[in-house]
Amino acid sequence: MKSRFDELLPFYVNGTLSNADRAWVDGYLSEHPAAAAELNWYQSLQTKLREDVPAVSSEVGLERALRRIRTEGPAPQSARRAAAPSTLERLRDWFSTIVPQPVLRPAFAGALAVVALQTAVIVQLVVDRDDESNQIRAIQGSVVDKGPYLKVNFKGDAREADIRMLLVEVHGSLAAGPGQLGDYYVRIPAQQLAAVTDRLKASGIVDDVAVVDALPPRP
Amino acid sequence: MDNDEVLRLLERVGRADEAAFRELYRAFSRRLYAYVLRQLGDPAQAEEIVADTLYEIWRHPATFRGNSQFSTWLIGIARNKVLMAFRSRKPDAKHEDIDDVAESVANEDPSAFEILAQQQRHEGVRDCMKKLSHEHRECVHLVFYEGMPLAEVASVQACPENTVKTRLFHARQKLKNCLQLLLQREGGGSLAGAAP
Repeated sequence: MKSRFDELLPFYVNGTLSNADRAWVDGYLSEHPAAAAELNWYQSLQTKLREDVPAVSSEVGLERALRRIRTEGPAPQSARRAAAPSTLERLRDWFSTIVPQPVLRPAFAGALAVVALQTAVIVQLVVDRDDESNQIRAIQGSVVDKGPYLKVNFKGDAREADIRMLLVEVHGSLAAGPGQLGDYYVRIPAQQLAAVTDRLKASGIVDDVAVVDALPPRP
Repeated sequence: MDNDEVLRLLERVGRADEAAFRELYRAFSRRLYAYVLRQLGDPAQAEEIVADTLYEIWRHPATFRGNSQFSTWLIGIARNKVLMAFRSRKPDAKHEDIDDVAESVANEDPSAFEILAQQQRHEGVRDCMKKLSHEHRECVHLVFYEGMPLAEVASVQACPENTVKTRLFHARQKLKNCLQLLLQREGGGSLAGAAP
């Protein structure tokens, strides 16, 4: 009892005890009237300490500080800008209001890991997109089998980029292929079939062009 | 001055507003000076540390975010400077005979407290405070002068709350004994058994 009284008494005197602790000290004092002498001493001590205020102006040292400000100049802008929190800080502060701090760091690390994993998967999908697009076109080509189409064979040294460029120039779209024999099936608007055939034949990278009525059957 | 007002002034200080800096300075300098002077006992050094501490506000106004009382935060900055000043000092005989009387005189007679409460003088309290160790003196100052709660004292002193309680207990014993001894020397107190 006495040791608890000794622990609480300084904070009873300075007025920072909780209501419950204050009530406990009040109870102790009423049960032990002699303890009031110690309370009186603490109160007297506090009064003496607070009255013993140094007789100085509120501007003590101010001139010295202002001299430094004028000679050393303002703080770096980065230190001053920090007064307005960055977007990241604001986001972090917002998180801290809805998530308990001890939970925040592991949870934030976990969230970052998930984002990184998702990013990796998406990048992989984008990288693989071309190959899958070809497969899709080939499948679509076999489904859309009503002609006419141009079956085009390119020379062995033709580059893929040149092939694509040529198909774009003639407004053709790849409907199927290339097959095992290097056949490309190209859809062309019917009214331009003849003109495009002539133009393809004239190209230096084309080996052969033929009009066909349908796409080859799916393997 | 409450924290909201402090934050408003700090925002202005962040825009290099010297008037706002002066206002903050005037509001907190004396309290800070009292703390530093109590620790170091050297008015010139105390003035220097107060100016340096408040200059930090000018340099980094954004570092205070209102998570504690501004005065507590300032004392935290000043405390580091005080500790550096302590380190640069030569060991001295500051504690004189306090160790001799520290806890050897344990007069818990309630009348001893009454006599002290009635007869202790400012000078006596000041002298005996000077004879406490740095940690004990700081603890007493933060509790009785600053009026800080236990948790805040522990935060400033960077120690567990139980350590603060222990420091307060020993500081109380030493102060009481020192004051009793002073009164005895002055012949002003009838403290039977107070002196060894």
